[in-house]
Amino acid sequence: MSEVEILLDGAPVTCAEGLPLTEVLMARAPFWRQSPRQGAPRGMFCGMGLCFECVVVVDGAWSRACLERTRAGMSVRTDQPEDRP
Amino acid sequence: MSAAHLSCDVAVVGAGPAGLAAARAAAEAGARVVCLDAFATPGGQYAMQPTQAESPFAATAPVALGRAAARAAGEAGAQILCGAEVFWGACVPGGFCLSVNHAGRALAVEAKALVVAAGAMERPLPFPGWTLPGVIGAGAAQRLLKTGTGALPLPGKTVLAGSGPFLLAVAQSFAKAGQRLDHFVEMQRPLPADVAKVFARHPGKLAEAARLGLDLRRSGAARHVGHMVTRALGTDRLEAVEIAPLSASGQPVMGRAREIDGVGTLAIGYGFQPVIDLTTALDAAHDFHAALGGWHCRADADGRTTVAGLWAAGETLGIGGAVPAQLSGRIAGAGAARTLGFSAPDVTGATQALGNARAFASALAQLYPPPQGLPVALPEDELICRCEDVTAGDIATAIAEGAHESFAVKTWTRAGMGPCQGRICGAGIAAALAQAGVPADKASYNRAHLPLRPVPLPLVRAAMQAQTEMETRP
Ligand SMILES: Cc1cc2nc3c(=O)[nH]c(=O)nc-3n(C[C@H](O)[C@H](O)[C@H](O)COP(=O)(O)OP(=O)(O)OC[C@H]3O[C@@H](n4cnc5c(N)ncnc54)[C@H](O)[C@@H]3O)c2cc1C
Ligand code: FES
Repeated sequence: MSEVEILLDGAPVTCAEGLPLTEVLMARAPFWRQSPRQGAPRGMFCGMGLCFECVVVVDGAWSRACLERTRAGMSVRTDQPEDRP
Repeated sequence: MSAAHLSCDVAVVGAGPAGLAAARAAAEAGARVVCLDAFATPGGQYAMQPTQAESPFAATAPVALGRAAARAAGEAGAQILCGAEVFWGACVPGGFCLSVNHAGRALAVEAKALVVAAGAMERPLPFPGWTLPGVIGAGAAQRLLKTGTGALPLPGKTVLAGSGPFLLAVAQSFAKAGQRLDHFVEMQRPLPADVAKVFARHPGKLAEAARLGLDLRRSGAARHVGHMVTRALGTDRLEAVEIAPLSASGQPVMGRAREIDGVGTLAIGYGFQPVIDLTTALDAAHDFHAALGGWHCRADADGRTTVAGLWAAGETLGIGGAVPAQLSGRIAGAGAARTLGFSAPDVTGATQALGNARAFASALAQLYPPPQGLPVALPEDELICRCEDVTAGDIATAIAEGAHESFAVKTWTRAGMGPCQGRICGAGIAAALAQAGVPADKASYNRAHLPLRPVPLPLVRAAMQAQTEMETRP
């Protein structure tokens, strides 16, 4: 297993390379965004790219965490992007 | 941004067991084939590939099958593109134009014939507390185990719940991963005589079923058969799960409900539904059959849909499992190539085997009939639509006031207008309509709109420009 360092909300996190990003995010907390109207906490739900509950910003563009794989130096932000779907 | 361009004879959407078989068959016939999949690696659901060399799944048969199928399709000449999500499809003169988000770039694929093998997804039925973080799909839990380190990341107990044979497959994944499963909650209790009848007719499946049963024991889970989850409890995250036994009429007996506390993960699933966003966007006819997962694309025995040049394979045609998926993929891929004038191999054998494989799937669906109504009554303020925060009360009001089609519920309440386009809330809305006495053919389904999956606007523009060029070319 090769290890990589990613930036999670600005803080360095070491993890295995190629992991689903959701595994790394969930190790911190089961939620990382808020629902649009009620502001309720949400995290991964479908795990296969269809619900868009897991959206984060990776290297400046919104992305579904469940489809992302960890790679060295990637920057992940969980504050919600303006242009999120 | 302008879109990259690819042109081929047969485009295949989906690189699961069905799509890979279709790509291989069409390529072996001599067609130029492009096979697209949103995931990072081919394999789809059944044959999804691990990301870690030391994954406990690395040496399993489904992983080997996915690898072999991708290699065979590639060796036959098919071009497989992963990380390539189709966000629109349109009929253009001479064929089809697919708009693709290929790793953040626009790609337009022009194809003379199209095979859609988009597979299945879970059928998420809402219940009180289902939006709490920590409540995930049963398939989501399995995907984490199979593609991650093999350990679930959330602390606390794990509960696997819902209904259907897939729950056993997920329990098996826990056992294979050596990951502790604390509770297994299956709503239905098939009669032993009915189970015996199914396996008397399909003895070849007995060993696999026995292994599933053994692995459920090996997972260490406390088994609650004939029980259902009636509530997920917690404040900002899941903390406890309430379960209750079912009465003879299928209602939870709340007087005998009990709470399981200290729960970090509730993985729950009520079966699968076909992914039909692309085939509905292309205006193919669809039919409803509860045992096939509800609405699915209509096709003849060769996989030919009601739209000229459009073929479908695998679970887009109805839930059936990996064996029918591979067979129907081969049949549709060969058919698509043959219709374009290539000399495709004879697939009579596959067609016969497909009938038998589908019979087993439908026997299983009869053992575990997918629940059509909501499993538990929802309080007014419980959400049905997670994207737009639309409540059960909003939806009940819309139905009471005359919204008797999924489409009417959507325009009335916005449920289904969010980024999931009804893929997640669709099952809950259909269940609410069924409960209100609206028959499925009247409730119907929502035809997908552009883009099928959210994409950054510049990609949509670039792809639409490419599509317009194909449409207006002299
Ligand atoms: C969550 C889940 C878990 C499952 N686990 C098992 C299991 O453990 N054992 C078992 O026997 N069966 C399992 N199944 C059943 C499984 O669907 C079938 O056995 C088999 O995988 C069906 O093959 P398929 O090729 O029809 O679809 P899939 O294997 O689902 O493949 C479809 C592919 O199409 C792709 N796709 C769909 N739409 C698009 C698009 N717009 N753009 C690009 N790509 C797209 C998907 O990414 C996917 O890879 C599971 C199903 C689901 C939904
Ligand atoms: S969890 Fe559903 S899209 Fe990622």
